Amino acid sequence: MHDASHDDAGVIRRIADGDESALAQLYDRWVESVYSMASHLLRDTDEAEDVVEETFWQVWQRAGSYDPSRGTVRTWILTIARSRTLDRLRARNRRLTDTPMTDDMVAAESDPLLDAEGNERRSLIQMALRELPDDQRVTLELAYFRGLSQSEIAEFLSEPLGTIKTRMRLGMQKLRVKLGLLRDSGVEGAG
Amino acid sequence: MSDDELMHEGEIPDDQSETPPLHDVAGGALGALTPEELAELRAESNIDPQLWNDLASMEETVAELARLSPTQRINRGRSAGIRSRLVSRAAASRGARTSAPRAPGELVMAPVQGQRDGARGVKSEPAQGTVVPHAKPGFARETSARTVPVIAGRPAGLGGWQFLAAASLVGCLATGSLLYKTLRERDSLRTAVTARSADEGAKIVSLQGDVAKKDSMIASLTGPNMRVVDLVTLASQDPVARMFWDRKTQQWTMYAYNLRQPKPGKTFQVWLIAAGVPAPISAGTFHPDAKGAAVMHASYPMDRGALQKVAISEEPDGGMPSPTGPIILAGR
Repeated sequence: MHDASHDDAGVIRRIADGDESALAQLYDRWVESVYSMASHLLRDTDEAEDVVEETFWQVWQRAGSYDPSRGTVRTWILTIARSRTLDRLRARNRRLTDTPMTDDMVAAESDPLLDAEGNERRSLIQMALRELPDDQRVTLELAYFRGLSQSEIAEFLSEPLGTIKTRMRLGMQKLRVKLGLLRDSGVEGAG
Repeated sequence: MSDDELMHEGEIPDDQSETPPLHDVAGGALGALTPEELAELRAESNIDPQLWNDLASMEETVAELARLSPTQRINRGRSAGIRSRLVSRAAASRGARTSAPRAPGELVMAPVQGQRDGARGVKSEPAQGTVVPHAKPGFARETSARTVPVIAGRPAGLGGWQFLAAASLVGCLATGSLLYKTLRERDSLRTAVTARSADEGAKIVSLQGDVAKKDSMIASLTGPNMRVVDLVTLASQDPVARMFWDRKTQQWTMYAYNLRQPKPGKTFQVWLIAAGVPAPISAGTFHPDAKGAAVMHASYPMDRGALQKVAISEEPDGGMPSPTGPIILAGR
């Protein structure tokens, strides 16, 4: 959990009370994370900026329903942002004909001078992904990076839906364990 | 847990597409479910704590995957515009929320801890709850605290019915007098409150309008669709103008300073020169103020890449269909 998660929860409470300056505060804190994720997945800066605006507007509208016992503010915001990103990926209706999703999405690096800590964390997550069996890793990557549904992945890989669900669940369970170990070992980044 | 154990625990037969929600947790966290599957999963997780926890931890894992995205800096100007728009919209929506009157006797729902809606980590606006009447503080307490005076004795020399009649008359007079006085005070207070409320309300509305205008201007000036054209002098003086074109709303705003006054019977006219349009397009006429400053707003739809040049010329009053006078300022 992030060091400042307690502060974040307080900011969310202020937003829920109608304090728009708290929204600006939360925006300043998390805009880069939301933008980085959205622009990485969408590969379009204009659309990523739209996702940023939609995400924080939804934060404003739904802050009263945030429950800190259910997850960090970071996870809550990124879940909203991912949902808005998926909407756009799906609206494009050209996911399967896009440039194939390959290592450049998984292995993308920040400028090392800008984000040394983030790069270290990223390398460890990339390693955790690579350690998954190929069929599980590909299934997760198609869902995460391409926004494909389980049914679409089944169709894309010509595999039965039940097989895809199993692979997705197994892959996520293993990833959860690996990333949990990373967290426990103290490798943590802000973004 | 080994792969074999996991596979044994979670394997779904290939010919089985209808699976328990537990098997959809990963797909739910990744956003890979159909709306129907997602609705079923959420409904189940609301009543199954284990499923709920499983889904929450899966979503933490998906949020961790966001760290795979390299840090990218959002354009500062555009970010400032987004931020300003958000704050402006939030302030406006807050105003709407707080100004919405609650109907007399309206019931409010008391939130129930633990109610949740679709997104994880989220507690829903109460779908169910304890209905409590909207309280009117003090009213019940005031009513119950009032006591009926007890008449302990009676004046000497009056019979029973005479005493009751006299007491009733005195009571009526006292009550009437009190009622009259109270009504007058109430009317006076009501008038004062109404006047003050109207005054304060007008001030608030005016201030909110000012704030919204400023925010809107900041948002439009820093928005992603804004193109800025600087216009510089072609003459010996030093007039300067800057035109902002919001390509999304097709709104044009021009600020000009140090302009000389147009000659008698003349006016300044703004022209847009666009690709594919043979003649300059008039964007309106204006007169600078005594200090040579001017602000002009116009709306003219144009393709995003079409604008090539902006110019200001001096034309006869009322403007001309095409430029005929000297060019005062121009920019591209």
